[in-house]
Amino acid sequence: MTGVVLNDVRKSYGDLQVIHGIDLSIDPGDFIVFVGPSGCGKSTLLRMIAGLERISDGTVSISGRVVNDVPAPDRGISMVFQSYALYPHMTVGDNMAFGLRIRRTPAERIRETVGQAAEALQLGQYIDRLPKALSGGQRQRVAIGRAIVREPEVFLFDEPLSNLDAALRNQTRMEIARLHREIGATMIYVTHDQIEALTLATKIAVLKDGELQQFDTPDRVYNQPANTFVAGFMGAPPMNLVAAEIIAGDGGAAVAVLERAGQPPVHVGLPASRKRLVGRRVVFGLRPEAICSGPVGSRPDHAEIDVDIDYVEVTGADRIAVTNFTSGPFYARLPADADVHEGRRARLNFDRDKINVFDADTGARIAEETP
Amino acid sequence: MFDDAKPWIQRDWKLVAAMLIPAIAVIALLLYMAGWILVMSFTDLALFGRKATEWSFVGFDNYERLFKRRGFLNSLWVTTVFTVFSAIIGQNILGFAMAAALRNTGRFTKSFVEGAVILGWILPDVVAAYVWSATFTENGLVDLAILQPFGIETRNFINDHPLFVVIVANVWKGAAWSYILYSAALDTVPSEVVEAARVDGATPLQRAWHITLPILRPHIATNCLFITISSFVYFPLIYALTGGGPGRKTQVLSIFVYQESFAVGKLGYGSAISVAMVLIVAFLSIFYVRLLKDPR
Amino acid sequence: MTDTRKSPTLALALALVALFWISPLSWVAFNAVDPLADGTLRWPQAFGLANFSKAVAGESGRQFLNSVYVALLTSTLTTVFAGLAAYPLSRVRIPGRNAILWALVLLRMLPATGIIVPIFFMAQSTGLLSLTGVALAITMINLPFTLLLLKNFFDTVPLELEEAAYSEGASLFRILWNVVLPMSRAGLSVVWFFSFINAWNEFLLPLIFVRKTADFPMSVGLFNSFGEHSSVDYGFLAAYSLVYALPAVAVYFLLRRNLSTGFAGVGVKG
Repeated sequence: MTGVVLNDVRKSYGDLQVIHGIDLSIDPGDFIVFVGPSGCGKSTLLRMIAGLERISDGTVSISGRVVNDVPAPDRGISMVFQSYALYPHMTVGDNMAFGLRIRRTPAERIRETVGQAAEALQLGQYIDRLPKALSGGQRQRVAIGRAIVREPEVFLFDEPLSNLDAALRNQTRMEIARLHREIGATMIYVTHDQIEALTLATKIAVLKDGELQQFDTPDRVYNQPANTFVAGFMGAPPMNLVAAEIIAGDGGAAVAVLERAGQPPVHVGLPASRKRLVGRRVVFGLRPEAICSGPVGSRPDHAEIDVDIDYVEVTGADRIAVTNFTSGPFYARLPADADVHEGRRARLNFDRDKINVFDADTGARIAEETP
Repeated sequence: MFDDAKPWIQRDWKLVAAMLIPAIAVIALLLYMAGWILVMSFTDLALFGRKATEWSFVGFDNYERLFKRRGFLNSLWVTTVFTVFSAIIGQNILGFAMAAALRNTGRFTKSFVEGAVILGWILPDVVAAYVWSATFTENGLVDLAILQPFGIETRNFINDHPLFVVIVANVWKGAAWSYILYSAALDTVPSEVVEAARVDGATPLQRAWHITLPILRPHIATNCLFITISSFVYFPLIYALTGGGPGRKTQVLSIFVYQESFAVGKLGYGSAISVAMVLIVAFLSIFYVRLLKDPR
Repeated sequence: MTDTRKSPTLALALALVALFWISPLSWVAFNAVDPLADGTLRWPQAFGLANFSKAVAGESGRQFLNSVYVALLTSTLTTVFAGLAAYPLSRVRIPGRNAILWALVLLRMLPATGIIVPIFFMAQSTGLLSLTGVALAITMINLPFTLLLLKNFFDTVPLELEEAAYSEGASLFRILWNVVLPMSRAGLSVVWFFSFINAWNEFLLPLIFVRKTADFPMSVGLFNSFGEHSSVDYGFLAAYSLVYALPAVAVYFLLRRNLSTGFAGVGVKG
């Protein structure tokens, strides 16, 4: 099986460095998603693995072989492009067969392989059509088919769903997930859509400004973001971030003093595992869905806050309340029947154990203390 | 040299370099010839006679002659009138009007009118010259179909109004270019914008003036640049139609160069006229390129 | 919305436009089919193809072939040279690429009459005062424009297609042959058409280069015939004009669909 290893990979155009030394070790059979805002270098990084961009410094290895100087066609990769890059003058069948023909695969074998791939992707009846006669989703499948027939060790996807409409995107996303289950090949997938990242990946690499922010499982990236950038980027609405100072409360317990715009600060007692934070300035992070409506009641591990509701967004399953808790928007994802209304005051509570804490200066996550 | 290039170009960079060679050689040759013209313009080289071999440098004599002799200034005037009326006014406005008018007409009307206009463009220059010479000659189409029915005295237009004849012929010959370009340009105007203006209550004329024309500004400037230059240096139609005559009445600059160089044989003087033409054309281009840029 | 049926003014204007473009051709059409034509504008007195058979026989036929030779040689050379060079100009950041492009823009404005003298001398000294020389000279004069045009066209061919072909193992040659070339058919057609029409119409160069009547292309052949006022055979001249015009018109209609796509690209960038 094939792994991909990036070792201090850098890319510069002249004096401008766009990738600043990225180390990644991708296990065989993993589905890795590179995610980040536009301009973060995720596509460049993918294209460097593909062999379409020169690697300025560092090494890329595939299956233990350094491929910096190996031409793209010899790297054992297949790439699915954002625009699909189907040859408009070739039929679906010829599009899929092109790479095999170049490699002088016997015609009989080409027909067999292409036929199988077309059947698997439900393209059998379109094999003699030109791409322009196909729908967006079908073109997408042709592009994937073209990647499959070469039986690559690593699949590379460059924002493959961004040209599809929302419904088709969900469906194709599931097909790609199924493809990964069936083939089991290593896949690297670039997207700016965090939902795609969370649903598809076995591991997510979050990038910003050409630097790796976090490389971990979707669960950990979402629930234990490595820094405030990842916390704010993943999730919609994003994690609420509030500047706070930690003081010592009764019996030495840590208490976060949450700063509020134009209102007195709010004190929130922290769990025992946060004792060592006392005296530090931090950023307090809380997922909108960790918040419930109503008073604390009989849940001692919860804390409560009072907020004014600026706006309520009804999404069907949920109500997303936007509150004045901080100067920026502070979101709470509440059940559809929650008793919150625009312009009213409401009492909310949340589980103290779901609080993330980040360093105020570096933005890096501060892990809980293990007793 | 190919370091930043795509990997498939880097891998075969020798082939890529070889692909450039023929074009570069040809362009180098053109540049060399342009330089040759510049050098010749400072000599008294002739096509035949003693000065064909014993030529010498004469400084700016040829350039002084441009302004001292009647020929050049006359040709400059004729060329300017020809260009302004046939290209900027005739082809440009007619081409635009046709492009606008044919947008919403039925398919048959459009194909027919478009086909007729493009036929004029496709027809070889000498054929066009022949056609127009027959149309404007004594008892030609214009005399028989327009002047006679109104009781106006028939005449040979080519002798009496030669510049008018070549202007009409050039509008006929060249309007298709502007038409094609403006047709394509009008397709790029987003219909939402025009509809928005209609919803705002703009009349068709206001929509054209305030919405369509400003959006098409770069296309208009590009088209004017192109047709101005091509009319300014146009040779075959005029030469085949009138030969520059009668007298010097239709002797545009390109005909003047040709006659000074090959009939009179004064290659030095001819080259000076060529250089002057290039300078004028370059000046016109700069003018249009500035128009092309947005004023703000 | 504004249909000709609903707007009589527009219909009348369009009819006048069509009349202006079509009616001048009446003289040629009437005289060509009239074996008794005497050069006046009148409805044919008789109908026959005698004029046409004269216009394609003997020296006239020879001149037709000369024109075909010049036009085919020019359009082929121009398309090949411009196509070869346009690809690297579009894809590679060659040092001084902008300077080259500006030189092309400037050269494109160079009036052909302006450099006819050096071209003549060069052809004379290399023994190319011939139809081949004419084709080479037109190729040279056309190249800056066609090169710019094709470069702009190649700029619109998506790079991802080439990347896809490359990562599938295609060599540069295969990428050019199997991807770029089929994708650029419209652009190449425009260039081929332009240079064909240019060469087919070219008048000045053969006027200077060629001396023998049998070597004339049709442009000079026609010009020479109606220059001789003494014994003009008007029916022959009219038929000759039509024979001369026909291939240009045919080429246009054959390539029309490709051209409209190609022109759209030319318009914006110039």
